[in-house]
Amino acid sequence: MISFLVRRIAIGVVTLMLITFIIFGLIRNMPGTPITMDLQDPEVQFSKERIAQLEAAYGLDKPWPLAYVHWLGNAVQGDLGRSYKQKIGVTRVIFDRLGPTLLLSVPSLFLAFLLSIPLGIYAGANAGSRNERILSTILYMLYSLPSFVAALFLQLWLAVYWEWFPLEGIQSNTHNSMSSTQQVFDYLWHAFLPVICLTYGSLAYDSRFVRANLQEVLRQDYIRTAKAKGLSPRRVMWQHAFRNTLIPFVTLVGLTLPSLVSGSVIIEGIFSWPGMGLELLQSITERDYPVVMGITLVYSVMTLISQLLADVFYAVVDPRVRLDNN
Amino acid sequence: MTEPQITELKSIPKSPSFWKEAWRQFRQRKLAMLSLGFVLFLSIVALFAPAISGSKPIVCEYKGTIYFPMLSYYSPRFEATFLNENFFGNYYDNLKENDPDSWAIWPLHFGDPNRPIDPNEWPDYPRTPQSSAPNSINWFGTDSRATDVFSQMVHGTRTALLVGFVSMGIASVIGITMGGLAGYFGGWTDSLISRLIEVVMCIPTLVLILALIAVINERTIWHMMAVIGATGWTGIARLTRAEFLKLKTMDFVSAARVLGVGHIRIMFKYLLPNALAPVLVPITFGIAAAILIESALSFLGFGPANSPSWGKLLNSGRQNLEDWWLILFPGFAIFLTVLAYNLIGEGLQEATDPRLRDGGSME
Repeated sequence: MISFLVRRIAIGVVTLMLITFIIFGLIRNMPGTPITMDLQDPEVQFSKERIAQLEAAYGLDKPWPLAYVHWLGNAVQGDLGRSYKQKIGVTRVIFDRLGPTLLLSVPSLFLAFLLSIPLGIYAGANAGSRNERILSTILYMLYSLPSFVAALFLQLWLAVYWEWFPLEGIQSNTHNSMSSTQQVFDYLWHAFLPVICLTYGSLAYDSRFVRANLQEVLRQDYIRTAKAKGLSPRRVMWQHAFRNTLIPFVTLVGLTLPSLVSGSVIIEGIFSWPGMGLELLQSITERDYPVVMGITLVYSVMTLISQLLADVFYAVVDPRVRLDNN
Repeated sequence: MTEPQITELKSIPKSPSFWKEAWRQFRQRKLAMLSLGFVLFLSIVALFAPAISGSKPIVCEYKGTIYFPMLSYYSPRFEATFLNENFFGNYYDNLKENDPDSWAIWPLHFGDPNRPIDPNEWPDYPRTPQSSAPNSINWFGTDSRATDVFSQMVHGTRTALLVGFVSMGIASVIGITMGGLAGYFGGWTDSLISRLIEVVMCIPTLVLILALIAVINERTIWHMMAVIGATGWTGIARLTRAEFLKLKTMDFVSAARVLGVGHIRIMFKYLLPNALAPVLVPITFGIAAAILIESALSFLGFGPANSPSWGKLLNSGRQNLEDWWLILFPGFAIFLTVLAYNLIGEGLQEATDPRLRDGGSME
């Protein structure tokens, strides 16, 4: 176990360096710099000396591989630099954006997992019945419905036409004059539509996953044995089949972890939700290099950790899997 | 001499080939067949887009020569003659005025995906209004630039299908080559390629795509396809690698090697045809994903400036939420296309995987 972890972490660090190197090179080669983006504003006028001064301050005067080494050195020491645009530390920016993203991702993940298990089990156990086929068709259609299309449809229908939910944003204009209970309610009210948009897709995917695994398990010999020795169908389902479908499900849970923090660029963009995804989109258009790098780093670290966790979980849940001897 | 042998062979009923059997299985799935029909329909719309909706004649005779002005939607050289004679896009009147003997066959629906229609460009056709709801002239309404939505939808079909095929074509070539090399040669080739696949898989896809797209100065639809293809090959590579690893230990491969067949020939003639069925499944799902990514990028405003796209319509709909027709039509088009490709992929999976062939239910 220990040697497996050490090896995986070593590979992970190398992967991380490669990823950040690639992204750093790409964003430094985008047309325009943060300074030229500022200059598009006709009110901003810089002298030549000022531009040179700013370039030196932002590290833009160095070739990008050198600037990357500089960035990496600071990042290893926990310093992700300062946002050009917001004039505050990148760590600060990320922490500020983390709260809103978690407000969407935590409920959405919980809802998806909580609902997908019973739905998937129902569909798997009643395969071929009329209800199951209707349920599976609906789930399949939801799985194929792009989240940004759904978000626009919901905005059109529930926010513009019926005006039941706010169109976008995280709080009302009158938010500051509300009591704290009202403020919580206000957040939830704003979070409702984005949470739905983030949930339904993974709900459909997860329940299809549970169903497929259950069907695979139901074909195994030990299920036939359990039936043959006269166990009740309920007992066969829950004691023998269901527990074994949890093994691949645990891996799935592990792999969904990055979405907890990463947020959805598109959904946050549509609902103007001030989370990590929207920040990433804005910082790419504003050429705010340190913020792009900071968020990329967070995403990649989360992805690597979740892959590692999925493997470890798998070994913990399934005693047949041994991590050490390959 | 050989004749008796042949008649003998003919008397044994030939077992159906793998692909024939797969097609028989696929045909039994109503939804998959329906989806295949839908994709064929879209292909026809995409292929004949300028003949279905456009502002230029499909074919016309002008001063004794036959022209195909509708092809100028693909390349401007097809209307060079008319540009030189200052037609300014107004074919109907100019054709009549400059050459009374001219004739023209017009598209089914008069409209243009790129610009508003001027008054008098077409008989009884007013200037296209801005943000107009669907009516008898603009079947799907118009957007805030007074451009016809139906026309954009029809021409956008071409974009969507092209993106799906070309970007997955690129991804398949990279993925099958990489996966094939890794699986066939093993050893350090395998470890190197496998590490590369892991790195590409760990890069957040959207960050990579946005960064790659932002690097390009003047984006065209071809750049988008290249970027989507260059980032979407990992799944195909992993599957090809696994299939090649499994297949290369089989007897027919050893036999080929003993006969002195070269590596490349073994890979393409012996291994690839046998690995193709499982690899086709992620490719089909990949087409759905590529269409999704293209429309999402266009929706976010990262798409190319000068090609009509369903995602771009959604983007203009987002800025004018009261104009429901800008969201409803392209939204459903994207949804149905993605759904169709997913259903075809699933049908393919069930038709080619022997474990799933008999319905896969427990009874």
